[in-house]
Amino acid sequence: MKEGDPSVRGKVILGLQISLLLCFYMFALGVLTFLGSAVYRSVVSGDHPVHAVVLSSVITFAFLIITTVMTMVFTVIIKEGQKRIREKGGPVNESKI
Amino acid sequence: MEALRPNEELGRGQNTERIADEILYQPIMKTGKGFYVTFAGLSLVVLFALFAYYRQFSIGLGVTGLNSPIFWGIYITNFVFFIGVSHAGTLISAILRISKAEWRRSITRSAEVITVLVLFFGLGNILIDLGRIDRLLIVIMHGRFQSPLLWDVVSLTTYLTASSFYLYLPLIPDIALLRDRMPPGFRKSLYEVLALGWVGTEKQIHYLEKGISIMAVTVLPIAVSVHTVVSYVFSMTVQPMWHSTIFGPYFVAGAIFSGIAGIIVAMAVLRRVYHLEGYFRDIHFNYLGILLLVMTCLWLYFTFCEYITVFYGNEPLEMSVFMEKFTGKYAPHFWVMVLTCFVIPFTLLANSKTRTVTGTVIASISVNIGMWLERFTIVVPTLMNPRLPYERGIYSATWVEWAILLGCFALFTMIYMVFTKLFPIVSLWEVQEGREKAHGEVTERLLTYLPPS
Repeated sequence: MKEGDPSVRGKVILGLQISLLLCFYMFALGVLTFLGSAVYRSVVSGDHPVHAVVLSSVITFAFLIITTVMTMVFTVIIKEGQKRIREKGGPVNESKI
Repeated sequence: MEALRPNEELGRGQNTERIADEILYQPIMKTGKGFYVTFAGLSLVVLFALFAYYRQFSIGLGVTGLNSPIFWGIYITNFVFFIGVSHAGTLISAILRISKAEWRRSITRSAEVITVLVLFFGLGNILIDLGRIDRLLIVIMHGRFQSPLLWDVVSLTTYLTASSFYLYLPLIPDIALLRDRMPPGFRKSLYEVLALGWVGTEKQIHYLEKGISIMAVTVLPIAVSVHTVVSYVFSMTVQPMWHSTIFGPYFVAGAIFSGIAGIIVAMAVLRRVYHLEGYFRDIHFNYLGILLLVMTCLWLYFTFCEYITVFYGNEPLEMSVFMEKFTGKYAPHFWVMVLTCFVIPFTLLANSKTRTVTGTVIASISVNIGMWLERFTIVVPTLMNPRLPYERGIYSATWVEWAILLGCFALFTMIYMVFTKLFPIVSLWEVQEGREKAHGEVTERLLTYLPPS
């Protein structure tokens, strides 16, 4: 990424950051679809559906927690970062540890 | 997380703190000749492993020592071993973080990286064992929840996802620091994206702290369930010496055991290569050494319980597996396992004079060798003595399997090296937070433990 117009650069970076979150959503959706299809198959064919429902519920719950945490952290950090960019012209050299 | 809080008045004073941690930036900013030489050497090993895998892929699993009835060998041993080592980071880091163990601060990152990386190798070995990778699609398209193999697939996916985020979240403030000091270029852009615009506002700190805490609590049951489920692949069958009720906890204990040993070895290498004596101090090795000693005793206890039950039961097929391990073809593996998993580590770690950095590292290497052998002696001897009337077989791994095993270790080391070149291997903000805040916190906590005077 070349050092060009700061506003364009900022938008590209923001786009990539949002894409990271969207990629995770796609992945989580894929996992949930897989679980759903496995449950569906077991119910339709009467192949121990209780096994399938219990196990996929546990995994779904874990993924819901992870997705919630990621959404919360990503959105807050990105929003705050954008706010700082608007106020002071960029996050660069402002991070404090 | 005081260290993350923006403090406009701190000004130059904060730079003094940064200089104290300058050595942590060195591996990222500069790359020496040694790195390239080591990387090239490891690349050769990986290329050899790729050639071996190409032969297996083009000719078939016939190039391995696998055959009926021994259809699982080194690859499955690797799978169980790597998943075990993966417990290093997440589990230990999460436990230390939740229990507010202050000495965790400089070691958590190096442990969390191990977790995420070795999980890929664990999963990779399953794919290698399948022979044809496209068979994975069969699991996805037609998998049944009745099968423990599918439990493995879903629990490992969840664990890998949770561990990756558990590694990434505490990395964000450190990535922001790198973003700020990196000259323009690809790496700066990479850090800009991954830092998510971190500037350390009150709100960002609050939510990141909350996120890390939730993930630390979430990842613990997931990590325990993963190795329990790995053990179920064996114990849910009625094969001799696999069908055991203690396999779940036995595997989890073994995983933590090999995980701690893995962290110690990684810390020792990093300390030596990057001169991080100030961060990976003798006290860290001492504490981890004590933890390893506890796990050594726990491992012996579980192993004793497992074998005494089989011996006392005296069931013919179980006894044939038992004797195969004690006096048969796999006796060398078994007794070396006992030596390396108990005798050597216990001797070194039980004595405070030998529980030095060197002693702890030797014990850890020994434990890792022993735990690999343990997985091997669980997998192979049972398959040699199946309940069904198959012809008995003998398993000898071929050069293809050994090459792939070596390739796994080499590739893991390479990726770990690359990680240390991209991100700080010690959590900068956690160390600094420790300097600024931990002293007061510990004193305050101590007062809550003691009766009022």
